[in-house]
Amino acid sequence: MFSLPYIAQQLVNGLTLGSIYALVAIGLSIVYGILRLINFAHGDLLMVGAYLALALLLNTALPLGAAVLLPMIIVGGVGVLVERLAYRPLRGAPEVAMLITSLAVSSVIQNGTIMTLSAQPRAFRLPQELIAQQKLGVVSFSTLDAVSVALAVFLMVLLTLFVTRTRVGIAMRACAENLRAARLMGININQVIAYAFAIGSALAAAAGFMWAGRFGSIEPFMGFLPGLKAFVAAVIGGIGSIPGAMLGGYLLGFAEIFFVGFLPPELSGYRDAFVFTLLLLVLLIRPRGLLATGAEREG
Amino acid sequence: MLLEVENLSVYYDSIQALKGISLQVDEGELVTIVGSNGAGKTTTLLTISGILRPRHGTIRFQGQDITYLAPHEIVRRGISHCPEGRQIFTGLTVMENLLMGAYHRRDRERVAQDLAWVQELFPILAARRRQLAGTLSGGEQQMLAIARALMSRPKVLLLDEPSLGLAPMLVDTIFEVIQQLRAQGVTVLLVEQNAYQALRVADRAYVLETGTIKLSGPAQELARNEEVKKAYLGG
Repeated sequence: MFSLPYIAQQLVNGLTLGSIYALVAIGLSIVYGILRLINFAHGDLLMVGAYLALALLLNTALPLGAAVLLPMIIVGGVGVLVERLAYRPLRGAPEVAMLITSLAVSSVIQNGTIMTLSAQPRAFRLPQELIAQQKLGVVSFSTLDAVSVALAVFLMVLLTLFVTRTRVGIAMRACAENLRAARLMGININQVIAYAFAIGSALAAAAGFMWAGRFGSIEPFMGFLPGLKAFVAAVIGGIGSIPGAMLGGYLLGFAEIFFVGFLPPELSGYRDAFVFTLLLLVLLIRPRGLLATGAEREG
Repeated sequence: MLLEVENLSVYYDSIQALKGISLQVDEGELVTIVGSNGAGKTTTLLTISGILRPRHGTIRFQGQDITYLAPHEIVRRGISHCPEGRQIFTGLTVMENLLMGAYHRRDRERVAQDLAWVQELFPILAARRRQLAGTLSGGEQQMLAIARALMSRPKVLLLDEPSLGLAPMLVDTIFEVIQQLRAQGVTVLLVEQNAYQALRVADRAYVLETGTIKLSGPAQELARNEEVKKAYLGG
């Protein structure tokens, strides 16, 4: 029914989309792991990253790598600042207070962007060498796709090394498991939380570049959809777990592409409904996600 | 005086858990707080560690006021807390747990020495150091919890119910270790429901009842006290 090359092509597409979801999901998951906060402003940091990348591409002669790296650094800083100003004062308050605050932060970032830059979508034009189509055997993809997947995998390897080999990284896992015990061990949790926000936000900025390049235009509300999908991915994988976020991101990427690619075209409008159905199915079988770790924290 | 708690009052919302308690721990001492469930023993330790904030009172360590310091600052000054119910990091390996105990320390060589020291104290941990801590048995987890707390090289070790939920033979092992620590000069503030064992090994003791200190004195004297016998030692 479907030719092998077609299936291979869909696999490549799923890999590309999954890489983006995974990067965004990681940030949501590490912050949730430590603070039990569903950070609704996370997708908006992806948007900020995309705008910064565009500004660098248009206004500077910096190499392309800088248009990815600099937004990651700046948005990482923005993430730390948001935590410091908006979330830290609410530490110890009921979890719902922080949740509502994150909605407010999201609104502030979106509307701040509209006020300073306008709500008009802008073309996100990439240099020719990134748009060029590559052929590898039977499948084709843009250079951007290849770079996106490679960069995502590289960043995830880096993150894995960080949380397994470094003092602060191990402390991050310790905090996610038992925040009080971590404090009793002398871990400065504010420092660890700042790291979590910096890393998560930087990954979102990288994903912002990929997402913007994929769709060719950016606008102030562009962070909503990938943010929501990444949340679904994080929950499927087991929110709080980093490997879970990666797995969930790729699963969702593949599932979405396959849904659109293998079912009748008239159903493709339902892709988001399909995504949530998938979430419900996973949660019915494994209520805490595929790779959930540890017990639910008390108090 | 190494650790001095003065007139400490702690509330959970409007419920007063500690009603102005005072206690002291001198260098090299093994002091125990005994009392029944809900008397305020754990609350006392959590307040000393900076997790809970008192409404009144002061906590001084080596003469300095530490009442409102952040928990990690308190650990840095030399107070280490081995919490009730072990609370080891089950998703981390035994070695990673131990390293978390030494989180604030930059003196790598000494940390390595202390790693060797705690593994000598608890040989089973050396054998299991690459294992996830969640796969250890209850007794092993308690040993890991103590070892992890020792990795900060504390001047005072706060031990909360180390014998809770352990088989009698393991309880003996844990108390042997506590005595060993004391022999090595580690100052210990021990909270225990097992008053019999605690009074047997301690130098001095406080009896805590519904947030107030009812009795205090040398542990052996308290062990002979009729009231204590009746209430905590089964007659």
